Amino acid sequence: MRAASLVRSVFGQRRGSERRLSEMASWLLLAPLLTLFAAVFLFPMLDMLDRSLFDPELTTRHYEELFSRDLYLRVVWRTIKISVTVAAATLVLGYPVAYLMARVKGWQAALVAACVFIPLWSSTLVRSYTWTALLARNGIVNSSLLELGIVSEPLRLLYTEGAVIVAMTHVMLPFMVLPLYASLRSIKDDLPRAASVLGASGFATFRYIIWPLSLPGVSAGLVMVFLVSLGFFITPALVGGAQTMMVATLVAHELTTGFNWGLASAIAAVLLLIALAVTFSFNRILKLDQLSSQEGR
Amino acid sequence: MARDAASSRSLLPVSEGHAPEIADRTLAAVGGAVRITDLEKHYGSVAAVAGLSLDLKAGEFTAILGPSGSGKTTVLMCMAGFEHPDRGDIFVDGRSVTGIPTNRRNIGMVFQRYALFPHMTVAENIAFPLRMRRIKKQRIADLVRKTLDNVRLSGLEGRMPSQLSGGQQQRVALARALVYEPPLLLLDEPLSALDKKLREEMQIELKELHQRLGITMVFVTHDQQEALTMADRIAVMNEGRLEQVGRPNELYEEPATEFVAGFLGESNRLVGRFQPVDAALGFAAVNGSVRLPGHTLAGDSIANGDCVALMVRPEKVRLNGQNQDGHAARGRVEKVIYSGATTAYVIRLDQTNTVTARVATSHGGAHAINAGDEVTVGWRAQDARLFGSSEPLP
Repeated sequence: MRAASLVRSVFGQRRGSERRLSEMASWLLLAPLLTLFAAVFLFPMLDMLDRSLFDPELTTRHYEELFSRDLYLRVVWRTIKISVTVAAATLVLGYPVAYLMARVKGWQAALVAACVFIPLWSSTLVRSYTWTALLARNGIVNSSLLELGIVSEPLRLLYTEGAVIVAMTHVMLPFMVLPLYASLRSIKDDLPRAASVLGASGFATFRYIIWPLSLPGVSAGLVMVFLVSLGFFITPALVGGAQTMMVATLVAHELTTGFNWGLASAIAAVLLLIALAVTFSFNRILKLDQLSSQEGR
Repeated sequence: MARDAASSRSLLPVSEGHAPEIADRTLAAVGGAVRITDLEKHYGSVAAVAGLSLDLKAGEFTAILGPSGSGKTTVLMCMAGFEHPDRGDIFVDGRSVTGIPTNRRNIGMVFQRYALFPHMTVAENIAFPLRMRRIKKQRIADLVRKTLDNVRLSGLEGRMPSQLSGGQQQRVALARALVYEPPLLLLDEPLSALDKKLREEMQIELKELHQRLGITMVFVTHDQQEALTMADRIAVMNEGRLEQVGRPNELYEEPATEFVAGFLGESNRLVGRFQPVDAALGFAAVNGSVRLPGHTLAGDSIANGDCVALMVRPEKVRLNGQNQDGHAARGRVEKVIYSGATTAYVIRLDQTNTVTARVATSHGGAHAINAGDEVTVGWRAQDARLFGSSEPLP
């Protein structure tokens, strides 16, 4: 005790100044990024909120229009529905992949990783166009179905909600797999082994050990996919049609054809609000913080 | 070893009609007998276990001792069912278990890093194996409470594993492995993560627990002191093979191989040329000039002039003519290492050879030996062992 206080009295001041210096250094290091964020992210967002309320002067006109017109509400509702579906679909499809990635070693691991990463590296635009080629009236899917005699008329696949969901699920899959992989990877081999020695079957080990311990990854993946989907533009614009318009395409439509900055900003503001609400409630429901702090032992 | 079945049953009272696995076992003997025959396990071209046969009596506490890479952990993994042997078989109470998946083997295991489930409380961790056995909730609660009592953890049932100290985590792991009364408990270096004092306490506690429960325990360790302290029998492994099995004192006093002599406890090793006297006695001529006595065993087959390694425990080395067999070497004391009850003297015989002698510290100082003193060193032939060595002589 005495030695410790002695050390503190001798070195205390110096240590304090060092800490101040390092704190300042860390702010300096952060400064370029923070400036960039402020310029290209914070400022436009505030500007957007500003336009939704002050176009031309303080008014709730744009929000009233948004909430009074069926079309806009339908688009918002559809966007939420599609985003939820895509998040759920990526979870169902991505979990086994992430599990495999976390368990295999050597060249098999490299193969699985390549299957996940190569789509991530290729452009979203390219991938979305590929889906138009696949799903078009005379595309590969329809011609195969016709050849096989399963259908007699080409099906209408493109410009449907189904097409948007399928294509977006494909595009979003890596955003689900990566956080899942990270949390599955952090589960030590000992834990499933211990469960099995203690009498748990393969399913019980998954149900009681693997699944609960992967929940931080599950919720991170769900939130990420859901949020990115909410504001997704390219894929719905390409494979979706007028009947499957999503919020981002609606905003673009209002801007490019209606030049209605106020309404477009109001729609965007509502989208932002939904995104924030979902993020907060997810953290609450899954107690993300508590779980991850336990894992980070 | 106390085989008091009544006390062990009152300790962990499990038996209920609708839990067949547990009911079965309570009828059976308390501990399971294990027989390992000709076990082999390869990883690629490397043989982790190269033909190991071992019998463990029911209720015995066996340590599998060996350096890292000796295959001791692989043997345990095969017993648990995490690894499948390439050849050979493992029997528990006469039944082969190699075809049975881990979760149906009904064995207990304590892992090196405890492997407690981080998202469950202490009570939930301990209840887990009982839930897997579909035991009634009320009964689980009773058993968990009794087991917590048993490992002195009452009051901590609501804690998460991350809120426990290393020693407490160790106890939870032990409680979780014992609550369903497995006939066989495997321990994979369970004390290696604890500090020295705690480790020594846990050694005694584990030993007591074993005596109370009377179950068969297999303990894998690289710590020879731990093995000597705790085990009824020690199986020493090296490079995938069994070197020797025996009681701790047998291994210490009559090691079968040079490896065992060197691995278990302190040992002096001197290399020389063999000069036989009779069937069980000979000398190692070290550096041509000094002849030191030692004994051989029947199976040893060492010929006159062969290179031999002479192994002698420091505490068997006598200084200045007490209790020697007449053959002694002269040397100079190089170092004196005082460690309380005993003092070790490092004596240089010639340029390449030193001998360490450990003697009870002499108080009063009448016969005090100091660094730089000239002394004679010697030992009784039966206290030193001669092993054939393939090493070239200097």
